[in-house]
Amino acid sequence: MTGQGPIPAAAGLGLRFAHLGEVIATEAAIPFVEVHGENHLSGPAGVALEVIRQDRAVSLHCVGLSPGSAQGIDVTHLERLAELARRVEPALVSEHLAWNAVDHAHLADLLPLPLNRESLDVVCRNVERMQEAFGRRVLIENPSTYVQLPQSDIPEGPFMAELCRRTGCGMLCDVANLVVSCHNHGWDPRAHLASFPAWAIGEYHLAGHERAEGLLIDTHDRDISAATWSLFDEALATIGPRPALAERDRAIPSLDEMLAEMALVQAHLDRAGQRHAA
Amino acid sequence: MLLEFQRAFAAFLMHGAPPPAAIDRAPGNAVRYGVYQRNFAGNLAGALSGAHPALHRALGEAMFGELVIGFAATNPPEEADLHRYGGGFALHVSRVMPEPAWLPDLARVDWAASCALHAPDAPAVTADMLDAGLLANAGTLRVVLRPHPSLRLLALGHRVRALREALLAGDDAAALDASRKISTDGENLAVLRGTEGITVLDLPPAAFRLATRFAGDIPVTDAVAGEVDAEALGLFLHHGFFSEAEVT
Repeated sequence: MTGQGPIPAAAGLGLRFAHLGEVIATEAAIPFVEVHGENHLSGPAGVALEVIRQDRAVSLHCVGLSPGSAQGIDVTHLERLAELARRVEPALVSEHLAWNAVDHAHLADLLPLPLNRESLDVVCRNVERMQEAFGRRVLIENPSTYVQLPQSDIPEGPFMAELCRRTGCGMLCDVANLVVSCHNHGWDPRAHLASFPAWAIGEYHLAGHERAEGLLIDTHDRDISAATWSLFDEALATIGPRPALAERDRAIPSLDEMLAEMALVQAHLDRAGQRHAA
Repeated sequence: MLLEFQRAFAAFLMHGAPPPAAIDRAPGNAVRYGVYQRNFAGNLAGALSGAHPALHRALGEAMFGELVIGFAATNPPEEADLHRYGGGFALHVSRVMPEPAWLPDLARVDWAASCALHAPDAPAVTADMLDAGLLANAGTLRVVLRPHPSLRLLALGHRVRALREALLAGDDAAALDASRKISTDGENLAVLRGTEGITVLDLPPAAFRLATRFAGDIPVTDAVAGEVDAEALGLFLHHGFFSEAEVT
């Protein structure tokens, strides 16, 4: 399965359940929509996505495959998502560098993974399994983290680079997660960004975060911070334009507001494109 | 080592204990690990309140959250599709909150509606598709009507439908009034997804028995035992109880 053609380096819309009907009806220019695969496995949301994909490119963003699970991928869940992908033929498929399942318990969050040789082997094996099932390259997203695990001995950037090199997968660079993790761990955001495998990055994410008890919390419930916009501009200048998306998962605004946020992302992409052209 | 770490982390999330040594006991990290505990509880509360909106409204945020923590400790989701999480929640409610006695039935209707909402899609057989003559002759033809994937039939001990409607409408005064009038003479409900969304029907006993027999995927002739209840069949067809028909 090759899916839809490549998504242009343009801003897309994070499509949520509340806006399905409006997006089917709207004639607004939307270069692509991104959905959480787990929300469209059945029922009306699944049918709606099949309608939407007739007119728009789709990016399938998964949250429950748990590529970091020591016990491997849940093959039943993987097959359900692969079946959805066969129907929708997405232009992009992505997941997270995280885990959320052990001993048949699904823990409903993107949990921190120790980054070391053992976990690299595990993630490589699981990502290869995913790519076999989807019949295509997937993108793996850098997560937001709140703890530095003592078992980790490989930095995130080199870990991602080795994962991409060994499996042929790509990377989804979540700029907001980078801002959150760097604040929480005292890392330099620009240096951390520079450590990512630029050659493998196939998409950017942005989102808002909350500040609480000295930490930044990745909440996806508010406007994108100035620090995230600034680092996004840095990424566009050093890595280059890619498909990009502002995520909202809580306190979801109206579709018009979502489209306005999409236009803001597009404006940053356009400015970066003009600088490249100059 | 990774598996040991993940098992320890899961136990930490589900049981609320301090981070075990297998994770990290660095001083000052409690706040950081607390983010994951709050996310875990919050995401499951979101999934369960989405699947049980009337129960959530009836109990309020704090009490519902306590129920979720107790439920999640012994019944974490078994799969990543959280729309399918919550099948045992009504039973959990009945065990930990014996009063008011109608709460578990309210949870059952919520859960049936959630299952209906997320059931696979399938075109419904309509009355136009089965002409009246066919139904009238069901005693001589072999007609199999299969239940729509979204159809759920509930035989409840308490009449909670009116209360649930008031709760979903956000009408607290009507909900309070309805809760005072809940009777224990039982209620037979059919819950399913139609073109207009989720429908909850209160069926007369005879129609409910007939619907229950259809839900077993058996021929019309067997289901009605030679007596076609045209009115009940018409009701079922009108509301899209069936997803396919086979006539031989």
